Formats: sequence, structure tokens, C-alpha cells
Amino acid sequence: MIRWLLLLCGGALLGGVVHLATIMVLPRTATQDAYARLAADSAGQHGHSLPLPKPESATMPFMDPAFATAVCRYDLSKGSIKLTVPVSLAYTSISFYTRYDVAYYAINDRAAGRRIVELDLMTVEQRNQMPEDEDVTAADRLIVEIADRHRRDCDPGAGARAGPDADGPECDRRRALRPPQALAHRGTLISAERPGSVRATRSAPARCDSAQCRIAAD
Amino acid sequence: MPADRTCGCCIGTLFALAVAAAVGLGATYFALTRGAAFGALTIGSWTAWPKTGTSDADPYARATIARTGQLPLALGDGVSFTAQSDDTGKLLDGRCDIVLSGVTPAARFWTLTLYNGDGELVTNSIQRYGFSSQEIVRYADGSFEIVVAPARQSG
Repeated sequence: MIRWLLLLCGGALLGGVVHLATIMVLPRTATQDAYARLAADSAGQHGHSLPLPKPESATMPFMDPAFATAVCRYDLSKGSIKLTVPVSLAYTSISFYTRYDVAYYAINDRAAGRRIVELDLMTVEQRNQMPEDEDVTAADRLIVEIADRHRRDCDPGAGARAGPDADGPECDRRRALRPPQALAHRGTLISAERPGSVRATRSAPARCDSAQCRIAAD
Repeated sequence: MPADRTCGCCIGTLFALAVAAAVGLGATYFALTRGAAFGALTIGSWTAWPKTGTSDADPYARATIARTGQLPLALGDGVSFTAQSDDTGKLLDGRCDIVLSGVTPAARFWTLTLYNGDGELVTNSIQRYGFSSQEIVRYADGSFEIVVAPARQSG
């Protein structure tokens, strides 16, 4: 009897290990995560708009129908990324995700303060290779640096989400008040696994034009 | 006798492994289907996991994200609150009329969307899946009221 109780306890302890192991491994083995869905949906690495979610079809669960979304997958091992997102009237944001769909950075249009958000995304090495004199001067561009120790899986994506759709379900009276274009945009970048730290600095235009990723929502 | 002992030992090991598999996989299944993650922020019926939208997301949050296939809202973008029950704690039921009313959240821009349990939008005849802060009409004191109902109503 005691032997079976011991076996039960041992099994339960081992179960705890199994539980933790499966939780840790699951993000790496999931075949239907957001990255896989977006990779299946998009042809290239250039920004492209996602269709608005509908009850019968949506690219991902819990998509917000109030936002138009554009996504760009990117790979920083081939060079830094330039991102251009037009700002909408109501709200625009750009979010950066790792390959395993962890959001590590986001900004919205208020940080941009202009009609168009221009962003450079690069690793620390790429940043260090930039000429010194282009540093922190013209306040022209926002540079996002990634201290990235795990660039083996570096095949990230990016995107922009934009706001209320002009074709959305509206009553006529209210629709007349609405500007023809989307009211809010949201950008989403999906990137290398686990960037150690990210910081944003304002700087002059960078000359790293490879792997350019332009996002033009709507 | 040696054969008997080997057999008993074998059954014991299998038993322990079976318990381990059941406990481990069962716990993982429950954790992921219940949306367990650390750092939940609860306000009334509404729950949010702000840390899920950062690189500090815990392993449970990461596993949940991977399993459902959603992209979490980045914290610099916003925080998403979810409610599965009304103020009295009853689960939201599509056959009921549900009144959402109160003062506007202190946010620059917010949206309200109705999803089913799988995160899909809910079919309806007027294709209205949610509201944004720019669409609602407020009362004089700044409060608003939204009625979610299975049938069309006036007002």
C-alpha cells in the first residue's frame, strides 16, 4: 500500500515536471501560432494589409474589427528595417513582436507627432556600424535598437493596424460624419526571438536600405 | 519469484508514468484553456493581463498566445480587458439582453468588441461587431449605454 502511495506521489511530482516542460516547449512547437498564420497569409516580407476580421473568417482570433491592420514579417540578419506608416485621424500604433509573438515594443502616433511615422529597426551591431555624424541630430527618424542574443530564429514580421473601416457597419447619419479613410492605424512588427533590450532614439535618416519594409495601410 | 517481482516493478513504473502524464498534461490543458497567466488585473467583471503585452510575459502567457494563435496587444499600444460574466457573476449569455453602461474609460481611444469563446466575431444581421470611442453617443454627464441583445430593439 505504502509502495503505491509512494508511486502516486512520485508520479505527481514527475507530472509537475511534465507540466512545466510542456508549457515551456509549447511556443516553439505550436504550428498555428500568429506567426504561422501570418506567414501563410502573406506572400512576401513587405507590408501588407490584413482583411478585416469577419465572423466566418479571421486571420487570427481576437482581432479588433475597429482597426485596419497591416503586417510585415522581417529578418534583421539581412539588414535593418525601414518602416513608414501613415498616421490616421483617430489613432495609429506600431507594435513589434518577436518570432514567438511576444510584443516587445510599441509606439503610437502621439510619439511620432507627424503625419507619417518613420521608424528604423536595427540590432545594436547595425546601429554601431552607422556613421557617427548621423547620430542623434536631425530628430528626423525614430530608431529602434534590438540587443539580440538569439538571432538564429530571426525571421520576424511586422505589421500595422489601422482603425475604423470606412465600409464598416454604420447607420447613414453617423457615417456622414466620418472621414473616408480609416480613423486609426495599427502597425505590428514580428521579430527575432527575445530581444534583450530595446531603446528608441531620435536620429538622422539611416542609410541601411536593405530589407526595406514599407507599410502603407489602406 | 524473481519474475513476479520484475512484473510488479514494471507495473509500478507504468503506474507512476501514467500518473505523471495525466497530472502534467492535465495541468497544462487546464492552465491554457482557462487562460492562466501571472499578473492578472481585475476590475469588476473585467480582467486584463498587461504583462502579456511585454517582453516580460511569463511562460504561461507565452504558451497561451502560441496555442490560441493571437497577437497580444502590446502594452505601449494599449491594454485589453475581457469580461466573461456580468456584474452579478453570471456568465454572459447570447440569449440575454446585456446592458453595458457607465462612464467612458480614461483613454485616448478605446474599442469594445463582442467575441465568442474562440475569439471569433459574433454573426449578426447588421454586421455590428463592436464600437469604438469615436462612435458612441454620450449622455450629458459623459456616461454611455450600449445594449447587446439577440433581437433588434428601438433606441
